[in-house]
Amino acid sequence: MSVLNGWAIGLGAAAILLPVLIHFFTRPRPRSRPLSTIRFLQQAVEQRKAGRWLRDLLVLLFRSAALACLAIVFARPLWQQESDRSLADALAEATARPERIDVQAAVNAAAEMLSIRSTNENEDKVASELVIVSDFQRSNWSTVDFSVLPQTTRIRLQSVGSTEPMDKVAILDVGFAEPPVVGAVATLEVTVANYCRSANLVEVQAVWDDQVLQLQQMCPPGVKTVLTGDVTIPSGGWKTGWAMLKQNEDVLAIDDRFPFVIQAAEQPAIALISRQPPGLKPSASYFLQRALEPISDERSSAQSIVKRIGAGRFSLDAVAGSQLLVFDHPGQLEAEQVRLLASLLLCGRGVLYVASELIDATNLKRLSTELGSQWQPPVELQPSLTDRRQPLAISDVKSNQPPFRSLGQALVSSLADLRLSGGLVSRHLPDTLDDGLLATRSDQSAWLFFSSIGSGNMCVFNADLDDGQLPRHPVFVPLLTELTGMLGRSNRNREDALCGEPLTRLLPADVSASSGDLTVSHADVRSNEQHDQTESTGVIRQTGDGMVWNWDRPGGPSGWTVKQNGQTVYALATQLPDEESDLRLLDADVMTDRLAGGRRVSFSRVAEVKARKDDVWNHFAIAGLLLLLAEILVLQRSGM
Amino acid sequence: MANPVTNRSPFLDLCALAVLQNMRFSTHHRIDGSYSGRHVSRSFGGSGEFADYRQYTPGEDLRRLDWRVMARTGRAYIKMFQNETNLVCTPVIDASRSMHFGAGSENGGSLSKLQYAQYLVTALSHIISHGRDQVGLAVFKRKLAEYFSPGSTPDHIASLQSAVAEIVAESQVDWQSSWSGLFQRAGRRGVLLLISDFLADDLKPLFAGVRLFRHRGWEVVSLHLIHPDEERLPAATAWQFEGMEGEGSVHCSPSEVRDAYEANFARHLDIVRSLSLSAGCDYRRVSTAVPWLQTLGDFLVERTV
Repeated sequence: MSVLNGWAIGLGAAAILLPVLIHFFTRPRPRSRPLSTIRFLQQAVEQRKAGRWLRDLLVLLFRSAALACLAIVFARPLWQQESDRSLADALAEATARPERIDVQAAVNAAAEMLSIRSTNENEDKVASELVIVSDFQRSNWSTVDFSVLPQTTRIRLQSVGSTEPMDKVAILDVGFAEPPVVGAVATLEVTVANYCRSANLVEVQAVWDDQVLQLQQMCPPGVKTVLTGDVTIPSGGWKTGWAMLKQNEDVLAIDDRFPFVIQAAEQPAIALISRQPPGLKPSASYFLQRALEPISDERSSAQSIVKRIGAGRFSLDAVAGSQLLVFDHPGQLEAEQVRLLASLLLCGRGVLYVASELIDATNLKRLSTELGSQWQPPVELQPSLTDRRQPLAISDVKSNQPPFRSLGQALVSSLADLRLSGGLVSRHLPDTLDDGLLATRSDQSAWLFFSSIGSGNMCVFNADLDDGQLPRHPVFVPLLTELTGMLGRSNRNREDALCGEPLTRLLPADVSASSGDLTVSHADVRSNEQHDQTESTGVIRQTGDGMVWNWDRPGGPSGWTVKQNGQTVYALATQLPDEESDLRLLDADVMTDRLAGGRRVSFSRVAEVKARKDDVWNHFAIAGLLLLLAEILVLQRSGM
Repeated sequence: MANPVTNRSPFLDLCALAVLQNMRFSTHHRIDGSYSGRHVSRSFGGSGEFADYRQYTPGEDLRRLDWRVMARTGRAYIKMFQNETNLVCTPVIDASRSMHFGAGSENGGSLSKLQYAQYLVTALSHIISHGRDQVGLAVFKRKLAEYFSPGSTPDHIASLQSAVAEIVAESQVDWQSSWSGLFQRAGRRGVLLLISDFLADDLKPLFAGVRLFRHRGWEVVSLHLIHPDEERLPAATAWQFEGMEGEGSVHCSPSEVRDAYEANFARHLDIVRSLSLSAGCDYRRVSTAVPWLQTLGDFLVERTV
């Protein structure tokens, strides 16, 4: 039995003692007086003692018991069954976590435990019971299946959810429409869900470093609204920030602030790997270099963003600092170079491979083998059966997708007169999607196909730039510019994870254990300062693919930074699952009928149970009255 | 203590006793006296009132032979005449500690039982001496603490009254020892006036002495002194009652035990009365609430009727 007002028990004990203390301190101090006939008085006292001892004892017991009952009435006891008591103990130790619940996994685990118990005993005689205490959110429970439980299982559902609709506004997502570039205007998008019954004016404040962005917009009820604002990131690198709802007081506060990560990229540096000599003109590598360079005076080479690397010198050190790798006529890549290329792709580098030779097909084949299931190109390049291919036209272009989307329809139309020579033939690979095939030639061979590989992207340009019109075509430079933009942006512009979900992240390729110790810290929402924490933040270890961060159960919601030698080398935001902000509850009928799975299911609300079990005090009140009546009866019978 | 001016006992109130100046202490029983007096003697003599005939035995005085009866009947009979003699009274005062109860009480005046007895005995000795009778004194404590053989001279009376005035109550009375001492010292039979509250742990030795004196032909009168505060407990919330003869103390609320106490006390009074009567005593219950003069007057009247 538990009590609501434990203080009443103490008060009752004091009340029982009070008459004793009052009697002790206020009892009349007898005056002394001689009496010659004291022996008769002694006899009288003894006679009274014998007769009144039982009466006094009964009166004391009844009176004390009545006071005790009165104290218990004020204490408001709640009678709990043995199962409720152990359940209460377990619930007392439970804490809410900002994680998604896998209801079916929990039900399956319960089914396994109950099944083990049933098999150990006579199943017909065993009656199992499963008690579930939850708010029964629709987003969590709508697909639960109780049929996995043993047939004799009695399911008790105790809802702690509110019977009244709960108004809720929550931030579901924060990100940039396009990966931000240092110094350039970027659009920050904040997705807000309004679960209220009416429209709300939502105010959002996004904070990172020393920058603050205020957003405000009227959000219709029952839908998600995206609030946008333009920002300019002044410096590159990894940053963590918070988006917070202002002046929002609802039933769940944890989703009023949302952590996010900003990785502002510098203008991408490009490494051109080619065996062609730098001074060879005209050459494919020359055309590529000229097309990739920004417009500037030839004499100021200090501003060049393209670094030429001989194919034999292709190594990690050589391409350090280059966000985009362009391969053109690289010749045969060594096995180690192929592994390096695969690793760089997985770690977020962009690769533009201009395929024109037989060896390029081989290189790509070996790269595909190295990447395995992480790269499934839509086509496989193959050597041409003839030494020189006839000029081919561009037969199919996905003009609504990058890179062609931004070129404009006129420029795309001008591809019609483009004739291409060289390159390789291709064949479609079975069980692959053509989503990455952006353009084909008139012989149905792939001209341009794009793939996301790990955190990086790769585009294969099937064209021989040594020969043909393409380098001289007006579309060449814009096309390359768009391609470099696509490829220079890492897929890891959205570094986020869900709280409680196992995390595995491949750190950027330039992060290595040899450079120093790596430490993880998380940001404080109030001050946006970094500070260390004592909770577990997973393990960062060196693997064949690079530095991998494993975290079994990420905490949060919060922003997390990985630092090496005091510099932030990586950032991650752990966030609350979206569905947890939707507080709509499942109807009891759905739980007991559609989802019951043939099991006996009972549904009750804790408030009702509490009211039903909250009548124990009535019994004590009646008992107290009866005890007082008994005391009066005893006194009357004894003649007082 | 005697009045230093008049050398008179403080318990001798002559003004009050003037009311009883014509009263005499009498007895209905035949007594043995020392001298001729107005009381009927136990013995028969040649003078006095004709009392009875007795058959003549050889050797008796022929002058007492009733010749007329002999002539008429032919048998020899002696005339017997009742002698009158004086009264010998010996008051016995119980000087136990319980007799000191009642001093300063609002009930029963301000006299303790002992003071009441002292007034009674002093007055009685005065009246008896004025009646040409003799009065003695015995004071019982752990033994016979004080004894005056009966006398009637003024000096004797004065000494006796002085001794009465100086009585101090002690713890308990050893009735057996006291009776034994008195029995050894008492002379002629007379009247034994036992003045006590009869609050003894064991009444047997007390009445054993009474019966002894009754057996010896003494007239025993028991004056049972009772204080009103003994009959009814004082009203109060609580009292710490202290025993006067070492019985301990009792803390109680009188209202809770009054009925039982009064019943126990009444039962004791009945027992004392019953024992007194069965021992052949004259028993009189005296409440100290009644003025001693009135008690004495009633007592003397009762004895003359």
